[in-house]
Amino acid sequence: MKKIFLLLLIAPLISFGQKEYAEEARLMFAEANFAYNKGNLTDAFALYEKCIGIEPQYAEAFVNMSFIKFDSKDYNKALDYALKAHSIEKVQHSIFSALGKSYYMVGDYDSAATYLAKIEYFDDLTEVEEYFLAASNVKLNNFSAAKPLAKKLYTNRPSNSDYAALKGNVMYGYGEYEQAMELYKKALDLNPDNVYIYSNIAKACLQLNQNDKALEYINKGVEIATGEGKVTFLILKGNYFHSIGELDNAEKAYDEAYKIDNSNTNILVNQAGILIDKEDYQSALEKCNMAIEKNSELMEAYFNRGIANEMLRNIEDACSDWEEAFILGSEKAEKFLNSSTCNE
Amino acid sequence: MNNIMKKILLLLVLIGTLTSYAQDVPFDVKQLGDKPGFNKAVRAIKLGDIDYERGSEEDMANALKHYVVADSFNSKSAYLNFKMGVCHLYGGQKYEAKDRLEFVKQYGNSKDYPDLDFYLAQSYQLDGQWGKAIELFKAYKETLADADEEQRFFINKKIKECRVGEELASAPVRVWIDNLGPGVNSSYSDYGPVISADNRELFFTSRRPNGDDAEKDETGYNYEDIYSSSRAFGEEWDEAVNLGKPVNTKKHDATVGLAPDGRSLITYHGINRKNGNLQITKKDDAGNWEKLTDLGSNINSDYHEEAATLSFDEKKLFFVSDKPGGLGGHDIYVALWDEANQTWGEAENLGENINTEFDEKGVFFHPDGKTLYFSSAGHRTMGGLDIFKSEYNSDTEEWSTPVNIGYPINTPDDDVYFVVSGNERYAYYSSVREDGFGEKDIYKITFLGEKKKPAFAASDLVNGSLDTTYDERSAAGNFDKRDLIIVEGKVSDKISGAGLVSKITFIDAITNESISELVTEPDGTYHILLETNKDYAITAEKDGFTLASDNINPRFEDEGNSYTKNFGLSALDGTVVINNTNNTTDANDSNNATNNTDNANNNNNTDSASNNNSNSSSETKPNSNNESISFTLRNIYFDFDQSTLRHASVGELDKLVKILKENPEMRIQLVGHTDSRGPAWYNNALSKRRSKVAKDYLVSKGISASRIDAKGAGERELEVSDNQIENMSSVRKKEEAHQKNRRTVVKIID
Repeated sequence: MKKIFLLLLIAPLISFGQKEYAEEARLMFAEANFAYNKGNLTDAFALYEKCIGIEPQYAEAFVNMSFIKFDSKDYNKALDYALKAHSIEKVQHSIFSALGKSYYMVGDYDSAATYLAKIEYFDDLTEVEEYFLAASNVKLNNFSAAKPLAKKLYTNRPSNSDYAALKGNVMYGYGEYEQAMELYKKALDLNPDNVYIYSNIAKACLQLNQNDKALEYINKGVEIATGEGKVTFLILKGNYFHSIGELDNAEKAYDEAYKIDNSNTNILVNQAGILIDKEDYQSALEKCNMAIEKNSELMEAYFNRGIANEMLRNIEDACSDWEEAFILGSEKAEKFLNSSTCNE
Repeated sequence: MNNIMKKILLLLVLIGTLTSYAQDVPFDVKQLGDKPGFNKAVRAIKLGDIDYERGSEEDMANALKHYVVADSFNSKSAYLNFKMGVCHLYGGQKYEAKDRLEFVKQYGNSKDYPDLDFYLAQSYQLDGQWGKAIELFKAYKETLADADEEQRFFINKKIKECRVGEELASAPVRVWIDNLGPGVNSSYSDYGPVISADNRELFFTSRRPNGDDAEKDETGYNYEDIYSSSRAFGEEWDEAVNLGKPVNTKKHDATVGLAPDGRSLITYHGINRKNGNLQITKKDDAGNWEKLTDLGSNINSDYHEEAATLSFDEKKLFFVSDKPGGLGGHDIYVALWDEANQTWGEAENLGENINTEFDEKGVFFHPDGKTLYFSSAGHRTMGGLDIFKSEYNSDTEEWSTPVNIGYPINTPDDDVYFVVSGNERYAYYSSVREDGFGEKDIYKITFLGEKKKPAFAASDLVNGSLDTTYDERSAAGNFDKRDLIIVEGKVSDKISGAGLVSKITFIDAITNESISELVTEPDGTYHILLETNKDYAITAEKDGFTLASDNINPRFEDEGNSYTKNFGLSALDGTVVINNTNNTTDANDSNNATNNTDNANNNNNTDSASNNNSNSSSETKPNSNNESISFTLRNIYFDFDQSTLRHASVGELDKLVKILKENPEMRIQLVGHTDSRGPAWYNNALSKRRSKVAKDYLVSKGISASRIDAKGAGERELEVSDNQIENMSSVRKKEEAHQKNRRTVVKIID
């Protein structure tokens, strides 16, 4: 009975689809969907796996597996499955959605924005998709692209703290720091647990030369946040102290961040920066080496290592590092490459 | 002896030791006469004193040698320390002077050494203790008689130097200063470096002995000789070698200047260091130096010429001379090469912007043709000769105010003979520094420029917790359509490029079935998803405008690709759309963001009856271009090698019929084009037949034959040339190119 029921359920789906999947696979897929819609994600996942065992090119199954992994916060796996689906079917709404969101969560905002924007070829984006797209554009500093979406989200849901903060980010990006502050404060009022907002408010305060207030918010964030959030605040704190010339305090903040997360290459880069300012070039070099080992495409690490190498009189290595930094997008490195340092 | 007594005795011995350690111990026969070596020491002092009284640099050095002998016997004599301190100051190892003179200051009787403050101040100046130096200079000035104007002037100058030193030392130039090492430098004086512009050849003067029985000049020092060294790219300087004859002689031969290409060397040649001439030698093709030739009487005089530098084109010669008529001491002059007479013209003093009442020496003219480096004891020096830089303004014909090139390149001692590499990354000069091998040494300066600021990973703006964002969705079902491509583009005015709201139709080119119809966005843009493995005929149209068409034939392997198909339309009334005010922008978007359009509404409206197919508030202007309006139809198909219309063509021709019916006065010319395959005469005939067939169709739809002029252009006007097709990488691309050539051009002739 169950199978007949399922068959009736999936009949419209099957009749629509043009791809000729094996019937067994289609039945398995329908069963998996049923479990998914019921919220039985573990069962659903297992069924999708079986489905793929029968029909390895079942793109729809991969998409749903991506969704499941995403909901389990396993974003790398979510991306893997989304990519697998994409390799089979390159133009599909659900695949673009899965890819866009997964890319966002693994930090590839450029790819996230690219795929989320493509959803428009099919339909209007869902609210969540709009949020991801707007957030991606904010991360890419593409505030003009983020603005209409942020405005729409906030207008439709003014009591949503994240949407208020998002719009604040857009205002920040436009240089409207006062407006940004207003929105951040509103966001915090709506949800005081949104600790990340302290980071954005602090940045707005710095732009408005309200340094004391900025430090207050940063310290508040450091106090409340945990894990990766705390690391973000400590980096912000370090950057703040560096900007006012307090190298020792900056170093302390970065060191504290490093103790929490020693795989964060941004911390290593910034530690190297401080060491360069303190003229401890050998230590700076070592920090850069560690950063590059973890991420071989970290432009700032190559840039800083170039400076350290130059001051340690390793001119050839310095120029090689700046070349790498230039390839990765550093305009300043290009100037160094064209200078007499690298052109005897 | 009890413990208390032992302690008292120990204390007495300690006091005795301390007091005896720290005090002036004169060479007194009563105190030291019974010690062995006393007489020898006293004799040495007397010999030293004789040289000391003569007072030249060489005499001071000789005096020092004697004093050292005495010092090894008794180093606690204030008298001897004073003499040695002064000898150091005016001879070699200047940095040794301070400790000696401080000893005298502490333990000697000040009345015995009335000039002590003067010398000690100089040693402090050399040591960079500016404040102490100024204090002592001022104190010494107080002891001078009012009439002692010259000395007062000199002391004031020293005080000014200390102030400059303090200022320059507080903001040091970022450089590395490296001794060129024992391969180049020796324990003798090495100075006067000159380099080729490419930083590969170095010549310098050395007073090291040349051979086992090197001759000495009247001062007892070795004659100057010229040495050279070379280096490969990225390498250090090779071991220096004596240039030998004919450049070096038995007398003084010193480097003076070098042409930027390293092939002309200017030397100083003379029997002593004050009476010699500037000469030049060139390197021949075999790499040998030719016989020296005198620079001529416009350069050489009966006075002292030293240091010379050539411009890059070797038409200007700057040199230093102390001949009369200058501003004081040695001055810098310039002479121009007289091509006609093959000699240097008359020399001209560079004037008071450059020259001062003090010495100017060691000149170098950079290959850039405008920058002059020179040493001066005037201007704002921090002591002795400092290196300055000035630029020539060819508009005003003036030299800029010389600028001290800074500390630590310049020191309180003499810094002379400064030359810069062509890329200005390196410079070379001679200096007396603590890490030297002896007396003057040659140093390489690496200019580091401004301190490089490291990059910091900024903390980005943070967005909300998207990981908790739950998209309430159901599982994705099976896809409705598969194997899709994206087609997007813009319809615009052919002349102005303004976007046009238009209708675009997608027809299956085989079955003539309508696949899709859409209306563009207000800005003329559109996008659509199409399935692969189909041939599409695409037509863009707008009321009152021409048609535009194209086709696309995506295959299965093209899945996922994006294609851009843009269309240009022309208004039939001869106007040009210049502004489509239906392009909405966010009025609040006043900042300079990268994308100022606010297209929150994507509206690929498939309702062909919608009212969007019009630029309801467009601005237009007359078309000033007198060319007639034409457009190309690409979807009029014929069977291969036939002039029979394919069924799929009628759609496009029907649109043309509509235009002609709506514009009853319009007359058109239809020109058929073929691709280039097959003989030209054949293609010509085929194209004529095809355009006639198209005309016949139009006539069959009620258009008067007199309104249509049908022609054939054959393969004469290919859009894609045979050459271009030949170079295409695939058969498919070539076929698409041939298809592009097969077209019908509609020209409105009336």
